[in-house]
Amino acid sequence: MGESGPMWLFMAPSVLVIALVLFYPFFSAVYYSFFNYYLGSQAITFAGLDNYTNLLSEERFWITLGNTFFIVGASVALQLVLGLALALALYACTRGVRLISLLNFLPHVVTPVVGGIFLKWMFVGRWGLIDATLIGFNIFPPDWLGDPGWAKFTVIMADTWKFMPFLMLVLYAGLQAFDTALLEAARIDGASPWQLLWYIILPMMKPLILFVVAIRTMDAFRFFDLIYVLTNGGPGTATETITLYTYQIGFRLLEVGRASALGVLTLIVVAIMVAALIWFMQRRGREAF
Amino acid sequence: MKPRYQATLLVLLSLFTFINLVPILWGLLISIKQPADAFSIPPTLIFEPTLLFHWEVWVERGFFSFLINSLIVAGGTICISVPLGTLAAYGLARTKTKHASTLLFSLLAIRMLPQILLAIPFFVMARYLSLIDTYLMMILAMVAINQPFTIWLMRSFFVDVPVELDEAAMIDGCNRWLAFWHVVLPTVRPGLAVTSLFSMLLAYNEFLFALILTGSRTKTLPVAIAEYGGEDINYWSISAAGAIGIMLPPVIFTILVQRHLIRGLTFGAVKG
Amino acid sequence: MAKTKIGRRAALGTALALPALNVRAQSEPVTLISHRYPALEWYADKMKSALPGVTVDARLMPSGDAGQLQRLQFSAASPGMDILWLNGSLMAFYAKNGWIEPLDDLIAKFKDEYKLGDINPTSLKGLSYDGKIYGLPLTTNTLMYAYREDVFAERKLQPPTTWEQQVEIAKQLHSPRRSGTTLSLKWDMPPYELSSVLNTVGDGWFDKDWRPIFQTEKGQKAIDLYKRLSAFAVPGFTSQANDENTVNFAQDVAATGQQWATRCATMDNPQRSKVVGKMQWAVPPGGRQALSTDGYAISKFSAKNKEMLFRILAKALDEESQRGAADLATPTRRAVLNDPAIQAKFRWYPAVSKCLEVGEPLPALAEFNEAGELACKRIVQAIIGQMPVKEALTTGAAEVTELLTRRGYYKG
Repeated sequence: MGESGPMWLFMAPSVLVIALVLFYPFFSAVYYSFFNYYLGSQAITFAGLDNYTNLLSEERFWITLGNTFFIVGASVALQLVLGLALALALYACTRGVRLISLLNFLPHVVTPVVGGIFLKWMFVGRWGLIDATLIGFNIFPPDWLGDPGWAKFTVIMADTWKFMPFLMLVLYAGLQAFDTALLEAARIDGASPWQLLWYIILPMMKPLILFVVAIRTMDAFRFFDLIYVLTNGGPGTATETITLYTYQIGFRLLEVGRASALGVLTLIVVAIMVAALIWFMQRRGREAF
Repeated sequence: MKPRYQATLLVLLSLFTFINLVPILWGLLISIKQPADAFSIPPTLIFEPTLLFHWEVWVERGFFSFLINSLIVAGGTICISVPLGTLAAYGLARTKTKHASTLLFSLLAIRMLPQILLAIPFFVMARYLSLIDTYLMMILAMVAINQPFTIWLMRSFFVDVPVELDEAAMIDGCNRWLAFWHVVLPTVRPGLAVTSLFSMLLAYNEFLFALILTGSRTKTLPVAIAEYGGEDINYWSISAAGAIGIMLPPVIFTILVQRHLIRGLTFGAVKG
Repeated sequence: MAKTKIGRRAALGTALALPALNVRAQSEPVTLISHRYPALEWYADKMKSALPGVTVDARLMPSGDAGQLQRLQFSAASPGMDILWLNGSLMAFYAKNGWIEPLDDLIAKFKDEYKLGDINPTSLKGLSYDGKIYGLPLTTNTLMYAYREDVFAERKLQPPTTWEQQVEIAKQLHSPRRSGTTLSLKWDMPPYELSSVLNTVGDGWFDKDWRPIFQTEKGQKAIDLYKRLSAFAVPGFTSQANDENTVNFAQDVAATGQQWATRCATMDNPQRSKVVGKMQWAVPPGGRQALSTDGYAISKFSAKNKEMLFRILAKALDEESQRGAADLATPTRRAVLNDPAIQAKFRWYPAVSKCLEVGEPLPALAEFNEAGELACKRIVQAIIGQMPVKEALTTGAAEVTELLTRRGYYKG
């Protein structure tokens, strides 16, 4: 259609701002990934693909990538199920909806730096709220932050606590934009609640679900603040995600070149995942993307 | 049957809500206890509350001015980010060419790079432009980082609006712009509300960029609170008090937006 | 002069930073980027009133953030930071890179005016690198063996003289409710606590050519001992650091452990502690525990008058000021530290003095923070049983060697 002209005009201001502000930082990060660049020394030398090949041949890279997949997969899945359930429950509920949705949204409002401390006060050994309460009943709970398995669990719960409200609110807003007539019609036709959910509500919400899952996957890959405060990747490497590793290389070992390469690798991995997600949704229904 | 079902639902929802809120309530309790009581085993629920730390944070340590800074940054970000993002999202949602997907996807790529890698070049750029410790730099950074998300979120709302609506408006004599402004935009009001809310949260809560780009004139609340991360047990009480206070503006904003959400629902009937 | 320095740093496009080096700089406030704990708040306040007409803009934050911000300023050759807090390891790193000013000349010049001869030589040495002094020390902090005097009396125990004894004591005192010991192994902290064991049971961290020796047979013995000790530690010790340990003691969750001298005052504060008067401190088994000297330095990239900056630091650390902060941190001026009135006023001071005599700073390796992090990560894996001790230590040593090779060591 001869429409694309004015459509581009709609996009121009935004693209302009992004280009002006992010062009330099983004490309310099990519640029440095091809250099030996250590903040402590004056010299930076061209390294070609060395940073990349070194990382790919490193055991720790694969461990952190595995951790990231596990933590991201588990927490995004948990958030989606909980967030969707909550959104639907709110949609079905007739009273107190505004208050309940507001209260459930609060964890997302908490500033991330502080959210980590709040959760630490819950999970910390012995005098954290969970331990302190259970010890009051003479139950000695597991080591939430110090046992490799439980530490993963805790980190997943932490991410879920912080971001489930985001999914809840977006999905709830999506539900509200619905054509209620369609639902009514199906209900009159005798569809069970599960059928309504599966055949009408979920397909209609597909673009939004795609959106939140993709956004959350991307963000969870960069999930940082909470893990940093709670376990800092420990014990050992049990909860070390790829972003935490990037942080260690870039900000603590000060090897900006290697950290940038790791960042670009992360970007590629996430891009492939999101592309796959979009492709998957597209296959199921063209309108999704 | 029906009322009983509603009652069960309400009870379950309330229970879940309570559990969900425990970490925040616990933080609130810590902020009004002396540290010796705050971490006692088993937890004490009966204690002599103190507003000492709240007083210290907001009055003695001057957090109020950091709050103002945070609000300026958040407000500035919303005012620029949401309009720009909404326009772009509409453009994307109504473009049929393949380029649109490509553009959208490359926008998202920016969001996939760990932010800590952008921090160093951002600092260098801000220094070069002499924009360290200015609201402008912080707002621009937040807008730019926020754009991909804003666009994608708004786009998902526009996609839900049938194209026939625009077409009908244009047949009635509107041009593309007027169709967007008068017909399509009102139907995505819930989307606008939600998008503003998330833009606000992102800018208001940002830590890393605020640490690097702001200084004593423009320091935002998250940076100020994080300054009391530890090294003295009292600091924890201070950061708990700060953490509770910092939540108020976004909570108020959420309440305002909620009303809008409900109104948006009734307007949404246009779509039928 | 600053120009040539910056010129070489073309990488970051630092010519970019030049426009900011303008004349206006002198009238702008002096910027301090510092860690935050109560003593540092005190000294930052003193700086604000140190010189009439000079305003000091103090940015205090946790050491991790402060270090990050400092490195950012340095690597961009930015004049946006004039003075800074640092500890021994940061000092070595900054000094090696030529980011901070050597202070010897300034110290000599102002020696009489600010009575700088009174400053404890050990502390000055703690902030020296390659024979030059890079920081004006504000405190030398020491790890101490902290224990519950009441519990020890009840069981007729004495503070241990070997780490093997400490394992026994921890085992004896361990119960579900109150653990035998605290440990802090959050690995982004420099491995201070581990040093005490490695220095006495093991061979230490490095030999004189900076080759790692923490993986030697004795080193393995040290970590193995630490692993046995960890069975009686407060849960979650891999994610705990000084703050958590302070609460562990304050809430009666631990009976013994290593504690920094700066934390003693908290233990006797009824608003923060449930064990007021019950704690006692001693020299850790075998001594050679970590010391850490904190101080202030001047950035090479500051556009301000360096003498003026030095005067601010010296004034903030004068005798009167240190006297006022004596309960917050061990002073570096002998007139204050050895004052009988002060020694009597704070009941932990005698133990602190003993600890200062036998302690050892962390290795003066510019890359110690980085190397320590790599090593500590592996050591933690050994302690929690993710890896056998020997394998973990050899892996860690190989990683440290690899890092230091990359940084240009072992060339000859």
